[in-house]
Amino acid sequence: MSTLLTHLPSENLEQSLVLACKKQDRKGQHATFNRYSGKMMAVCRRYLGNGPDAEDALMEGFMKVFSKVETFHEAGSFEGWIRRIIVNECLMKIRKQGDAFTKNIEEAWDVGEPADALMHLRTAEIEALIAELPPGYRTIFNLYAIEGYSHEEIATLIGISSGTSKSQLSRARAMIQQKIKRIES
Amino acid sequence: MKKPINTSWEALEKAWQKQIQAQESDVPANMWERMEQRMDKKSVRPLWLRMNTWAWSAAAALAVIVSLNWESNVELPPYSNPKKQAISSVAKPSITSNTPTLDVRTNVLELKSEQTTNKASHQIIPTSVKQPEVIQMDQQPLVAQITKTPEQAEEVWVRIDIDPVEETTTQTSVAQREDVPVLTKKKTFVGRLLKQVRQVVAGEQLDWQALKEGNRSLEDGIHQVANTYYRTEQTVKQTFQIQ
Repeated sequence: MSTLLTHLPSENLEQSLVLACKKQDRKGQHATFNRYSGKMMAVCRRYLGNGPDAEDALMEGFMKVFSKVETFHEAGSFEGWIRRIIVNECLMKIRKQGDAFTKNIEEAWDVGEPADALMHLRTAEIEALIAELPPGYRTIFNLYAIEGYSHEEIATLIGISSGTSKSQLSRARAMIQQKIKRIES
Repeated sequence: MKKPINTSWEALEKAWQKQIQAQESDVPANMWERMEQRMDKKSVRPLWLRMNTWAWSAAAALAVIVSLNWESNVELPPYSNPKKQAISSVAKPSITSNTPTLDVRTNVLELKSEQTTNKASHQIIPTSVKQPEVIQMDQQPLVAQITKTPEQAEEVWVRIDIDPVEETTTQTSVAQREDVPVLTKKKTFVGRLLKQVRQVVAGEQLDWQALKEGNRSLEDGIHQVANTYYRTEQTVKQTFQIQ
């Protein structure tokens, strides 16, 4: 089925996958996994690093995708819906690891304009910069800058104030800036 | 989702977003197999989880009804000690009474009942009993074939159906058990109630005494209600008299 599905246009393919998953068709589920697991694994590694937690989150996330696909009403893209589930799974893992989100620091740092060097980084370099951030900053930066959540959404997702989300983002940006300047110098 | 703000950081992050969201990582080779195993495990649910609530309720109601009927139908007779009786012979009356005594090794079934314990237990024990050799030579034995092979011990297993109702002449020597609970067909309260309802519907008078007969708790309940009603009535009358 996966070979057949790959010949379809992207939108049709997504609809076919959704339909197959809703019918609990095993081949359709396998095709869905094959199509999105690589991207979702990258998401998990960005939040949780390269350890076994990332693999666990991916597996748990896809299990939820297949069990709750009935609730997907095709308002947005299927990939976006899967991504949100995977991100939620990663946040749950982070929450289990410790209290990374509990510090309510409302004081935002003043970060200047981003360095020019940041505009010309390759993907691997960006990922390395983000991976070096402390877990709290990294999570907020990932949610805001990469996934595109608003501060209010982040506050609801992880149970902090939107002020804390803003301050943590500003600190994450400042740390990235410092690292780039250090590399440049 | 967030509203785009035209700052340089926002622009930078937008660019990064496009780059990173398209990024893919290697997935462990056996991950799909592991997932399939987990999904198969989840799909096999135990029976008690698959059954709906109504099915459980129906089963519980059925169990209650069965147990109530059982309690009302079984009546144990007053306790009595079991008689100690043994089967002295399994030979037919025609052979034992009318034929000459033969040297026959017979296996006799003894139905032993324990004297010491209250509950009688029947044990079927095949034993070889040698009868005294008293053969009258002037009479022709009726069972001549048996005399030809006197050495061979034959084991005869006899199944005894103890039926307290049906007693035949051949079963007179079998011990009769008196401690077996007697199952009586007694109408349940619900059955009697329905009968009375049918009678009332048919225009007959309700036989309340017959309905409560044998049901001690119902009888007590009726008396309690009647007493309470009478006492309340008296209290109300007294109260009005005082006023």
